[in-house]
Amino acid sequence: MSANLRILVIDDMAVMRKIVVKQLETMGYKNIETAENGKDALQKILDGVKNNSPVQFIVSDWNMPEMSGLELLKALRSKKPLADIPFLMVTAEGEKDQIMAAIQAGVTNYIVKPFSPATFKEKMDLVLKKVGLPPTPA
Amino acid sequence: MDKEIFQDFVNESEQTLAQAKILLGKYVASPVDVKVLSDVGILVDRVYGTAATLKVESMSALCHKMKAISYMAAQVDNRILNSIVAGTMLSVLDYLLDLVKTNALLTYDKNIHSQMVQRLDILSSKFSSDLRKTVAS
Repeated sequence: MSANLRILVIDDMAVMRKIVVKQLETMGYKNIETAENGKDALQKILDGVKNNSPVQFIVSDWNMPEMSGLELLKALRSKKPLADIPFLMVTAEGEKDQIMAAIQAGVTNYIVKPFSPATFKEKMDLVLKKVGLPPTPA
Repeated sequence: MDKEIFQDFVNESEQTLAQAKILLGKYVASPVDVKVLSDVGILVDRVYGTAATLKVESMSALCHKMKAISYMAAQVDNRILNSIVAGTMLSVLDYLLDLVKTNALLTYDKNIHSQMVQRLDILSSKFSSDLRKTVAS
């Protein structure tokens, strides 16, 4: 189950999406999908519910066009079937206000850019433990 | 560093910085809408995040400073200062785009880079300390 956890990576920068996906693959995950912004992500999350293949973990950037990470988080937390999806928010260095707003909106945890693969794995494991899921596979 | 990811970064940052340059050019031509400056901040912030993760210091240090300055400039009604901000940031963007186009992001001249950092630091010091605290500059 752990390696097949369905993870959605959301970032408007294609390079950042690739970096995060590669790091998740190194952790042993195999079921990773990506989205360019919150709006695109929300559609994929809703499609996943319809198709009985729900997104089980979200790694989302904050700063994106169309729909930001915070707007996506708020949209999810207000919809009962989606409210409990673990949500790891990626924020910029020194943005304390962003972190506070994310916590108030119900983010599961956050990680500050730039981050190392080791820090990312630590944060993933913290979130997984918090929501009662198995730790990262590798 | 993964060569494919680095090349993607080069291409993507070139496009994003070129967009920032267009926005700044518009602001210089008609310095009325300060929101344009925060839009520039959003663009350079995107480049900063990836550059810092990939440890491309030539790009990350300058984008981090430009992000803070553009967010501060967007909060003040001072056309003279904001025109200097726009002009300085245009020259820094030209410098970064030149590094990208000449494939010199990792082999940049440290002296020129320091001069760019210094110019942005001087510019940043023109804003109040309270404002600087809000953007962690």
